[in-house]
Amino acid sequence: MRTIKTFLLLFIFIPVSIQICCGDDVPVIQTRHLFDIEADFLHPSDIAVGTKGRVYVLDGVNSRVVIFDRKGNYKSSFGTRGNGRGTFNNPIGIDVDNNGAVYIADSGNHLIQVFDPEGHFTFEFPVDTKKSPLPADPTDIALDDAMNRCYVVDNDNHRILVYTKDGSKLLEKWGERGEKPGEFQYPFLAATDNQSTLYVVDVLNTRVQALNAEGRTMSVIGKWGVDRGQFYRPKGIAIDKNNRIYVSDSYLGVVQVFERFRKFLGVLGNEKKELLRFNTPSGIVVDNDLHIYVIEMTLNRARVFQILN
Amino acid sequence: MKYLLRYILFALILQCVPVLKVSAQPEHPRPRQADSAKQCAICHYRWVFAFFVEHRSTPIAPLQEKKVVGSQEMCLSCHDGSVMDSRDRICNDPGHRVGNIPSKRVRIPATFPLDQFGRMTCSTCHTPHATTKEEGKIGGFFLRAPNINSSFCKQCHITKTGGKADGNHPTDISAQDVPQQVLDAGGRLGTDMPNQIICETCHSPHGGVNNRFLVLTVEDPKTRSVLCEACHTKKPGLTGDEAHHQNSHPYDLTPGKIPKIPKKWNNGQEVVLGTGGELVCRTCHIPHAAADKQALLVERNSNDSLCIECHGDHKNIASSSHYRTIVDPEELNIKGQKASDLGPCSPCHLVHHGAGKLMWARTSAQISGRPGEYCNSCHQPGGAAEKVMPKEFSHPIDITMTAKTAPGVLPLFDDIRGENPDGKIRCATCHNFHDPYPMFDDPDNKGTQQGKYLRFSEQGASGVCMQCHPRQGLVKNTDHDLTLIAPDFVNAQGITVSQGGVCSPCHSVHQDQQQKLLWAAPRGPAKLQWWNQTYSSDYNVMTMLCTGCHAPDSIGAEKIPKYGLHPKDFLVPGRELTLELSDDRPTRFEDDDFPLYSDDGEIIDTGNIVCVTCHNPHQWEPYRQAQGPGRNVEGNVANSFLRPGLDVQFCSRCHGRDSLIMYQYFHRDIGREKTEPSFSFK
Repeated sequence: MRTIKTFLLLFIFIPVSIQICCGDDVPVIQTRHLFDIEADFLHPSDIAVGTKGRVYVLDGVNSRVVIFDRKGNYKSSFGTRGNGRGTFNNPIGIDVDNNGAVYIADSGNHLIQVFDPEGHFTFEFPVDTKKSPLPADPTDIALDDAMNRCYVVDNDNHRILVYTKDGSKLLEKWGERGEKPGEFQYPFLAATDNQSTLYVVDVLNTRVQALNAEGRTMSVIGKWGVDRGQFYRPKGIAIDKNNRIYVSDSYLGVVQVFERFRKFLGVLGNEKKELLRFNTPSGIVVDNDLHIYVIEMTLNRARVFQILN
Repeated sequence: MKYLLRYILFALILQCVPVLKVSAQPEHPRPRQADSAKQCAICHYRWVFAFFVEHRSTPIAPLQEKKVVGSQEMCLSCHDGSVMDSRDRICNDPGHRVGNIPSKRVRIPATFPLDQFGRMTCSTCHTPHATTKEEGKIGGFFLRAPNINSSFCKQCHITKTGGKADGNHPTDISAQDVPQQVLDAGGRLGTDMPNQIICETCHSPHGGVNNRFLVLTVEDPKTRSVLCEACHTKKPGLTGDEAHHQNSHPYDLTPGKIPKIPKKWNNGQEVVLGTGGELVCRTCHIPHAAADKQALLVERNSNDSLCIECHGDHKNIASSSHYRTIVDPEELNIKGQKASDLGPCSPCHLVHHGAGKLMWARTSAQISGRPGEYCNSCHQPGGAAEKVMPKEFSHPIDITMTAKTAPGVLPLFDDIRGENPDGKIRCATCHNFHDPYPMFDDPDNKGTQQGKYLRFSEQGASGVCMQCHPRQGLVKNTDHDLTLIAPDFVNAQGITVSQGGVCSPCHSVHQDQQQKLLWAAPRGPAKLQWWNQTYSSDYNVMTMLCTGCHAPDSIGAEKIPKYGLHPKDFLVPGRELTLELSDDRPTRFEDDDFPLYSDDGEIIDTGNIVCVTCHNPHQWEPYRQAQGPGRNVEGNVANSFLRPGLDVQFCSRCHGRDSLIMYQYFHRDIGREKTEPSFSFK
């Protein structure tokens, strides 16, 4: 009888205890706030770090790119609204190669434009629309210098287009609309790591897919939900030099961190281990000094933190 | 066993606690048909399993109980480019408002949800559940109801329908043409008839240019009334008449100091101007809830009251002979409107579709702006004002002015642009047709008064003259100012000094008698009887102008020249003329000049010395550019209307070193005849 009573008491209290402990227990990746970058942005979407400490903010609705130094000081800007060379129509994604060349995914003009580090137009190439039901919607471009490739995310057509870095040759097309691995529902921003793995934020599938150089899905990071390691509106992705993966969630307002491929590591927090809450975090990037730059789209700014652990 | 059952019962109750928590949601009623499946909860955030079923927060997401499905943040979470890029249209243009409580003028159907505070959200109009196969009818924008020819808009905006009968811009009418400019800007046409005007022809709930979400601006400093103009001016628009809005009230211009634009109309409505302060169509017109339903005016324009609110400087017309409504109530303007049915402005001006410049309404002939053309439409034989016509000898018009005669305060005009600082004198240079003052007795209608409609009437009846002739204006307060010394003096036109002002005793701008200097005073003899008849001219106009007063029994009898003029036919030769020419007419009475005249009164190189050769009748003291002392002062050689230089070189100016010899010879000769000195200086 006594044994039965003891069992019943455990039956009563253990679930409650578990529920309480788990409610607040989340690993925090500590950071220290360094500075914010503001320059009359209008719904910026993405950010990239180039050579010589240049930081490029893609100021989307203003259809321009603004260049800052690594301390957040304004240096210059380039681009205006338009459909000619060096002009943009609500661009969304940006990346910089090892030589400092700046690649812009000009969504509204359906092409990729490339500039030198100072913002001078170099070349452009249209995004392929053969056999695509909709006009190309390049929302981001991710560069792989080692493979001499660039990956163009065609958002509306739910696929990835693989080009040579000079845009002269379309190498492959990966994916279609769907929920299976290798399929996408509105792929958005993307990044590559130093092992030629492409990570694509698959927005409405609420996940990040990691693809190898052949386009095969190596792993799926995150899933639908509002809990640790889950996504509600994943948007931005960044890979640090240790191949840790950072994913921003624009509605939950957090940046979650994963080990390469899958394991959830934690959520960005401050020095007091409180979660960092962002307002519509979108594009993110981590530089070699483990500074993380987070675009807050509706607040029209970029926040910069030093990752401590 | 009994205790065992109690434990089991207690344990079951405790396990049910979370469920009870979920059930207890007094603040936020449980939604109908809630579904935590991803397909639903991906927008219905509070339906997420952890929140809705387990009623708990997570380590990264606080518990969500409030409804946020239609919030701007939720919409933007997909419309930020990650699914659809609507950043421009939803979040950065002044589109349809959300987040505010609809006004009483708006009726929100019960099927259009507001948030818990009664505010508009995106989901008030939009829902992803509305997509059907009839995409076209639904509108393709996830609208909650079909939007056939803006029917969706009209469900809420009930006060904006009904056309002119309800004071609104008409819709569901067929325009002859809709400019491509409107369509390119996002304006849409209805489908029931060609060029059907619907709400969305002018408005775009997302992507408009201002807080009325118009597709084109009506008040931007660069493009101004472009939306209105697109249909109503530059293109045929609704009426099919290309000229319909030509010769209209000016717009897209910044008004000068006059007229004065009020901040608010009399009915309290804000006065809308362009962002640069320009007058725009919207200043007078309002496309919805207009006070004047026919013309869609911001305020009723009874008796042209709306006009007067800006053109307050014209309000005195209501007491004048130019007020056709009273003077000639049966008169018709070119639209066939009877004056008695109109205010003071409309008999002469039509705000739109006038017959020419100034929106002229008095003649159907196109007005070109030539001199006197507006005035002549009445002031001509057979015209409404044939009794008041310019006389044969009038102040010249259609001439330019020199710097000395045009200080720039009176308007000048050209044929093309109208008012132009480099233009010419026209009737309107001196006359303000909207202000009758000063008034004087009407000679044709005893007991009534006639207006002169002169500018600067506050400076007296001759105030306007002095704006261009300031040097002649120095006559004020001198012995030649009859308003001081002879206020009852009546000139040859029958005008008293008090009526005509300081210039009127001598000059009349419009007269049918004398052309020379528009002389209005009586003319006297060419020589007085005690002058040397041999030497004096029998006819010399300039002398006759002076002797009209300076003769026995005349007003200037006390100042009659004792001796006759410089010998006739002994003309003074060889002077260099330094006169400034204006339109081939010599300017008279230059300070350093001693003009010589022909018998006909023309300034010539070799001519007669007359009174005004030595005298400037408008300036009392030669070295002082000032009005007179204001009282009768006995003159001397330092004043007495003498020209400068005469005090030291009266004779030698012309005769040089021979002056004394010649003086003694000729004047003694004259004196010898009378056995007394001919002349002596006092």
